[in-house]
Amino acid sequence: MKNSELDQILKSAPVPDRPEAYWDQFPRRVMAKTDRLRTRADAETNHPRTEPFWLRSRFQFATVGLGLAISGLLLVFVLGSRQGRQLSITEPQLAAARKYFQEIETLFPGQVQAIVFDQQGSHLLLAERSNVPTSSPLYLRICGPKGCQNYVTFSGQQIRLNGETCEVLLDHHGNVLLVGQRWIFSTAQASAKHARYQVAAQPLEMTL
Amino acid sequence: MVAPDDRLRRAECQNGGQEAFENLVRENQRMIHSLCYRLTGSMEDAEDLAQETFVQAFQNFAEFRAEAKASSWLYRIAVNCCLNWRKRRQRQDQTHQEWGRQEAEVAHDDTWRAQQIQEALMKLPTKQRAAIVLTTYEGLTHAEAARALGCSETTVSWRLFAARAKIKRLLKHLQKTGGAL
Repeated sequence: MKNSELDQILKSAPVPDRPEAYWDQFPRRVMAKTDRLRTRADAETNHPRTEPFWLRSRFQFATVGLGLAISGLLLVFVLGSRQGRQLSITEPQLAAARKYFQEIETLFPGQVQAIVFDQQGSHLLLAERSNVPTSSPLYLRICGPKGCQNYVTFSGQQIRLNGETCEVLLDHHGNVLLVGQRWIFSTAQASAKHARYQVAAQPLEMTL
Repeated sequence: MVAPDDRLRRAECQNGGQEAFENLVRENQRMIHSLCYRLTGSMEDAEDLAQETFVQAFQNFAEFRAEAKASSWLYRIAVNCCLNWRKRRQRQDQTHQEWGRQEAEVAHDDTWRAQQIQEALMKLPTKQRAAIVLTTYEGLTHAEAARALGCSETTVSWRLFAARAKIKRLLKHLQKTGGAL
């Protein structure tokens, strides 16, 4: 197709026409709008506004109000969800930990003090001798400022939590306690939350 | 070269002549509506953009002094308004339906053909479409189109080259069915 042919095709499409009344009224509408703009500009020049810029019109006021309301709702939602969020342990996590613990326990019977799962993988804490007291294994999930770590360990064992040593204990009600140097956490607490950490704990054998 | 009428009009408008500006609108309104329609594919948007063009012209009248012709100056404002335009597909579809009703007296094939052409134009990138519309429909030279688009003549030429190549592919079927074309 030549350019001239293309031009001919393009020009064969007319712009939809409008009634004559439209063309008669359009310039008046434009002039009415320019009049309104000029009147408004004159009014602002003669009577400068003293109120804050965000209150200069109902629309702006409504916009700012709506924006503030949405921000407030979002803040409440975010804070609420943070407050109300409890760390939970899922069944797939438990199943994976259970399988891993059984394999390790088979390889190192009575030596497993703790298995740590973190971003780098899994780490074993093994006693030199097979003298780790036999008790129910516990599954812990602890989230702090540096991320989350999962543990399989036993009551009476010590674990390292972001460089801090804490002891894991299981009370006679089945509640798990973490005892640090300056703090103590118990799953019996309603919030199940420490100032720096969020902790979820569950006996591993209960689901075996 | 400034046309004598434009010089007179400019002087009148700058002196606050409402009537002179209204005449300017009246004389250029069809051209600006047409340009806006070609660039947006929507009658409603074309109306809004044409009004916006003239309001901006009124507000920025000082710029008119540097222009050779009032129409060139209005083209530039209209093109800028349209380049900032956001596609509103729903309104376009509605327009095509309304247009179809309005053009009931025209042969159906012509309406369909015109819609195909406008739809092909709408498939071009906005700046390429503007180059085609200004040169083919409005009859501007490459230099005038370059001034309206705020780019060099070379850029206009490249945009036209690319736009023509694409639109030829899109409208190939019209050439075959176009009879005399």
